[in-house]
Amino acid sequence: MAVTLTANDVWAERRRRVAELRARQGFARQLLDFYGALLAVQEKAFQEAAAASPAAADLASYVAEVVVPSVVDVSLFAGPDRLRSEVIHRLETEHPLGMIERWIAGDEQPIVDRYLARAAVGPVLEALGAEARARCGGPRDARHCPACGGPPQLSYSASPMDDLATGPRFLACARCAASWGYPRLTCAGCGEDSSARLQIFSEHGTTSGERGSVVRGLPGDGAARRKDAVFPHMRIEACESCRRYILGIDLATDPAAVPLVDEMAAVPLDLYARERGFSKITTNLMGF
Amino acid sequence: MVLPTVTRREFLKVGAAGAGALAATGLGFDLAVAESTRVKQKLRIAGTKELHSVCPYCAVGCSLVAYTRQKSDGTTELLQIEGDPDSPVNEGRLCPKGATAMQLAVSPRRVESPQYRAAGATAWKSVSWDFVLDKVAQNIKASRDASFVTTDGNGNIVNRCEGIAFAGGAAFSSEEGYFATKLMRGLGLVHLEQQARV
Repeated sequence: MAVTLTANDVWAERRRRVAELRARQGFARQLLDFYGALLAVQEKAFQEAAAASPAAADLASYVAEVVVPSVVDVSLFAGPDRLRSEVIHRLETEHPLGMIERWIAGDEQPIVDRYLARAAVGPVLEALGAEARARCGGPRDARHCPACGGPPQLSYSASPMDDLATGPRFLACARCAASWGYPRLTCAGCGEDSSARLQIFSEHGTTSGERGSVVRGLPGDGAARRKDAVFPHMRIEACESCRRYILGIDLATDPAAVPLVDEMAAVPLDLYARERGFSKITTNLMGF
Repeated sequence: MVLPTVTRREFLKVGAAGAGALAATGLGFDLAVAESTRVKQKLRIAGTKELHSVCPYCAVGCSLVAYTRQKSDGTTELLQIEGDPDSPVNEGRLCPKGATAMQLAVSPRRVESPQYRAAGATAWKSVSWDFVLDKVAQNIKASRDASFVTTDGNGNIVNRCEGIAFAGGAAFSSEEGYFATKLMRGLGLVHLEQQARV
């Protein structure tokens, strides 16, 4: 039976996954330590926005006044040197309200501005309803969030109801974290649906045939299983038409995964994709 | 087309600027990048393709997604088959038989040649396709000749074969079904059934 998470569970799940991946994936520790500190600020911003319920028309000013100072503080306290110096430099020349408005409008902006805006706007949009999300700019098509028009950050396959089923595919929004259904064999960036043009990169030993099982949802005989796969539940979904990619997370393979966190920590896959000339449809909060 | 001439010095300047721009795009998680680069170099990653297919078994016609990989010798390796979650027919689900469809291609116990058990024999033996086709043709001819009816009980001319029935498989395409029906009607068969779908 599908379990519906409450708002508080969502933040607890993100914290849990950060701790799990931090212990398991040492290469991402610097990122996850910082994201863990940022999560505390975002959760507080989420709860305050839910309680204050600012008017949708005041979204940008509310975020700039109430949330940005905390995001700046945690960035200066726990962020890497370059982030700290860039944040200080940008705030000397640019008011946060402009950064927030550009992110909400979907305009191009420098990476540090975008980081500050994303980190501050995200939890507030998650807390507020459809009216606030509807004020955000961006196309309302199959490849963008139907709620806020934001671009897709990641792709995930839901955990199926039984072992012989495959869960549907969803895209998760980079702006408000909402999810929407999207066809499996279709590029999330340009809509290409010719399988000859869609390339998937995954670690050896992660398909059922390589695990010694003819049924995807069942364990194999273990003979061919690679126990040292770093990302057994993840793959790079690349498109040769638009030369872009998105990371995919399979919740059937790892039901404990939290797509938002797992995607952020999968830097080796990002490096691999970029080495092959693909660029990400949307870089994540940490700039990868 | 005239290509611009780039000196070695200019090339190095452009390269250095590009590298600087790349570094400047990051938020400074240099340690994570360095560690991830080391991990990336050890990953055994391979490219695969996902392809649409249809289950070959029953008349429901469930949609499948097949994962394949091009091997270094040029052959294609089948890695995984699962239900297509976007299909309105099965919505990602498969029955226990369809879920094992991969065995049709990869099972080591797959029977790879025709098996023949002669009348009165107790064991099967492997035979050639030529033998089987000749044998089937001979049996059809013998049964047709033995059971062909030219007139019914009232003296009406019917010219039909009552000794053979034909059942078409679920995996028949429309064209194959049409061809099979034409062939069997040509032999005079009247007992025809077809598990048609695709």
